[in-house]
Amino acid sequence: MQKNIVLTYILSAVLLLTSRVSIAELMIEITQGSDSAVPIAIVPFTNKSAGAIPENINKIISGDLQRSGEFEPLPTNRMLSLPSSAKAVYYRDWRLLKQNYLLIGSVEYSKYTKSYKIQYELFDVNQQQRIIGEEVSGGEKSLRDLAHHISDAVYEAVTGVRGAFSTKIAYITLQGSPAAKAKLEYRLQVADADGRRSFTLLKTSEPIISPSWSPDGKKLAYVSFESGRPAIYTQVIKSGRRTLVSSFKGLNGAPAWSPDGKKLALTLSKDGNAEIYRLDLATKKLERYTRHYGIDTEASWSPDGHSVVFTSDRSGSPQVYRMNIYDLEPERLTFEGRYNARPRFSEDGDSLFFVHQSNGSFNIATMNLKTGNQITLTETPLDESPSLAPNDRMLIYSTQRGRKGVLAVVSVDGRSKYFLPSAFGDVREPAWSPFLR
Amino acid sequence: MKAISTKNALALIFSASILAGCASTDTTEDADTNANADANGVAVTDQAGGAEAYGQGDGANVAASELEAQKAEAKRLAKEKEAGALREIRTFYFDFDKSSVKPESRTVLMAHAAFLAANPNVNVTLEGHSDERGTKEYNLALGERRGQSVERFLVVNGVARTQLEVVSFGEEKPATAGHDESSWAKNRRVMIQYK
Amino acid sequence: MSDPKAKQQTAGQSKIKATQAAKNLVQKSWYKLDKSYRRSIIYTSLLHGMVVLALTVGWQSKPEVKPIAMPRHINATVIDASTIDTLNKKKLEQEKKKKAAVDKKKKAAEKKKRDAKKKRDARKKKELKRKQAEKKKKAEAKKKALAKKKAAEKKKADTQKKALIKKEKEKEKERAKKKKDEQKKRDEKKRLDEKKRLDEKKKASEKKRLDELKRLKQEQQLQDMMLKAENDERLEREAERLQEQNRIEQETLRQAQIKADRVAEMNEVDRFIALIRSKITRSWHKPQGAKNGQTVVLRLNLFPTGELSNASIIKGSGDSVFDRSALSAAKSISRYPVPSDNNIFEKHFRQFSMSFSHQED
Repeated sequence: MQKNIVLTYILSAVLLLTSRVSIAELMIEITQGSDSAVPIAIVPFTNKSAGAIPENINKIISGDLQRSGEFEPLPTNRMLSLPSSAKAVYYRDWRLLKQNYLLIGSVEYSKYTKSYKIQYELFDVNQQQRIIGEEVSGGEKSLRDLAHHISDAVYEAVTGVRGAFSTKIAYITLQGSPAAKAKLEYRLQVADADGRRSFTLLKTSEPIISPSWSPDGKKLAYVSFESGRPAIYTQVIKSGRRTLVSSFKGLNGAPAWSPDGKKLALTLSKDGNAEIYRLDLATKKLERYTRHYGIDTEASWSPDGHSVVFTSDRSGSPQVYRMNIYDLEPERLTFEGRYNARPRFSEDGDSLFFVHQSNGSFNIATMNLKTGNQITLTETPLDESPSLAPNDRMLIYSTQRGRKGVLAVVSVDGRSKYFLPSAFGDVREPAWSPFLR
Repeated sequence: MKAISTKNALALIFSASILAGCASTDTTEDADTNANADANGVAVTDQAGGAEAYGQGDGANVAASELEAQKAEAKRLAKEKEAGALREIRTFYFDFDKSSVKPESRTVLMAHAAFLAANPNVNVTLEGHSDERGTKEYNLALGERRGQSVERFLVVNGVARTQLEVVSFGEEKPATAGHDESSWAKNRRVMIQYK
Repeated sequence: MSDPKAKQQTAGQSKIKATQAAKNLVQKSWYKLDKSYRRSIIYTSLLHGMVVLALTVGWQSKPEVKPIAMPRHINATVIDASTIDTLNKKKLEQEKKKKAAVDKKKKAAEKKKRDAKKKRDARKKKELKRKQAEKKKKAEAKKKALAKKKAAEKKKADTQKKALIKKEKEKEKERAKKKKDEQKKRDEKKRLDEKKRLDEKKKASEKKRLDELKRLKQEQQLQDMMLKAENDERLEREAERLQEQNRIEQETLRQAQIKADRVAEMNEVDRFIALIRSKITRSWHKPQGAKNGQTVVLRLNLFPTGELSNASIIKGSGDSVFDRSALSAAKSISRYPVPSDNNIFEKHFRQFSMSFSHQED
């Protein structure tokens, strides 16, 4: 009797095992994802102090994330609950609202240290777990910076890419009209990446063009006509201290800082026509990069510092060229259309962004340097001066809106587009800063 | 020349006025008397038979060479006026993305060249401009190239290089503010600024 | 004359005398000495003698004439201190380059290692797949062999039956033939007999003839009966064969039905795979920083209602942000579309795998 039982056990075990092995497990392959923005709920941060907080922290954060085009913040009036701590979080509430992420936090002011302490936590709603959390603090003036820091942290935790919400933009404004001969006022402005907290670095009645950030984000180089002719200056942002670096006879233009911060590529015509030179800022020594009777200008550096791209019309009309700084042999890169100019590298060195004319209108185009594939990114007719955010995800450029010059920001995936507000008239020549420490 | 004494002057005037009075009364009353002064103020000589004889008198006795000189002077003045009028034109226009001097600008430029060549102590600035399309720095270089194009033309026609200076403003100082073809055409220019 | 000679002689004599005396002195002193002293004296004098010999010999040997080398002209060049620097710099640069090359080599070697490992892993995977495919093939081959055998056996049975029928027929034929021959013989015999006995026994032959006619008739009848019986048998066998055919047809129809059912099952599975795939695709927010080729594989367990009972990572991509996005997508589906047929559900959807990958085209 016992023997039979044992036998049946063995037999059934064997059968079970063999039956398991004979079934092949189904494998479903997913290669595409959703094109829509990630739904995220940013709950208004709890105010743990007596008085009001001068800045609306979660409005800054949801503004940042929404403008990136990659997030879709949930409107506050649709939230079923407003948790302020992890234990008050009911994941079911947020699953019902189809949110993927939940951000909660609190702000507290201390009279003794005169500083604000902000604490935040980010949760993955579907996996029902906390992803990141942190406590940061700073004075009233840094409230916006703290908020942008939280935006950066959330952005990087979800997308894997470093956020650029704590960066700045430089641009030029013009009040008055040159044609109407009214009193003209040009300003060189620097603002946060969201356009707020702008301040003036330079104010003149003559044009200012081509602002360029130093790689450490502490200085700007630009061309100013204040002396009656174009000359290149560098200015320390914090102190405002200015240095005249180039005022040769003829043109002084298109300054571009090298990635190590020690040299400027610039355009001079002192030797007869517009050519590109390299100026060593410490020794003031000039090295000539181009030799051609055509116009060579608008040089900018590759992120590895070994080559420059520039505009040259040596073929009959402006096109984009590249040359490495050791053999100085130019190589033409653009062959579509008869006007391609002002090239800029992406931070990863894989793509170029430049101005391209097609069907009479001037748009921003991008080219993949590995494949040579070129696509046009914008559609408005008079687009100029493209500048990439240092995480390569956003592009700012100048365009016309109505009869005014404005700045437009688009996400590189095309999902988001917005215009930057300007306090002073016509806006042009934007330059996005590098990551700032 | 001896100064005429007051006495003699008075005597002259007195007799002149009498003559004038006589002349006028004679004309109205006596048709026969030939005291007519003709247009040239030539005295009429009394002739028999009632014939009127005239002498040449001391009017404008212009020589042939003088006439030629006068003609030449008039021409020169007219030319100067014309050149002056031409030189009032200080702006020259260009085609899109081009820096070559247009044929219709040549006459005016020649006038400027002639003037500057003749006045080597006069200096000018050649301001180069472009329309707003395209990129700013390239337009700055394009404006300079247009200025240099005009500079070359003037130098070839006798102007010293030291009198000329090229400055470019690219698209930064347009002549008109519109965003259409006609506005752009007005902004693509070189301007001669006399110092 | 004799004086010089005598002098010489005396000189010589005195000489001899002196030497004699000296000799005596030496001899005396010699024997006065100890034996050991004597020995050492002999040795030292020998040694000294040898030294003297060697020296004289040496002096007398010819000295070697060494050729004097001509002094070379030294070409000195003035080197600028700065070039030394550049030389040093160059050296440093070269060293740097060397180091960089070495580093490069190291990196290349590491990369090689990694590539090799990758290759090995890929090969292993291939092997596994191949082995699995082989197994499948073997099972299928077995099935085929079995079916073949059955068919062969059947064929054999049929041919056997056929042979039997044929044999019967032949026996039949032979019997008939035999009878005919016998009959022929008898007729012949009778005719001859009758010819002989016609006159004598006309009546008897008449009677006999009649009798024989009768007998023939009877035989004929018998034969007819036998043929009929045989026909009936044949018809019966035909009927049996047709029945057999029918059975075969039915069997094939049944097999076809089973096959169709299985295909329908797979279609159902495919349909639900497509439904699940589209739901997941709509919910998966691929991170923007995803790299080409990144893949994470999850294992999902479902309840028969389609609700998720468990989701876990069985093979990560190495990027936690990427992996998390896949898990979130899987967990965001509140109800997975699943077939209502319980068998199909258990077989395919109770537990399955899902891979998420980023491909750049």
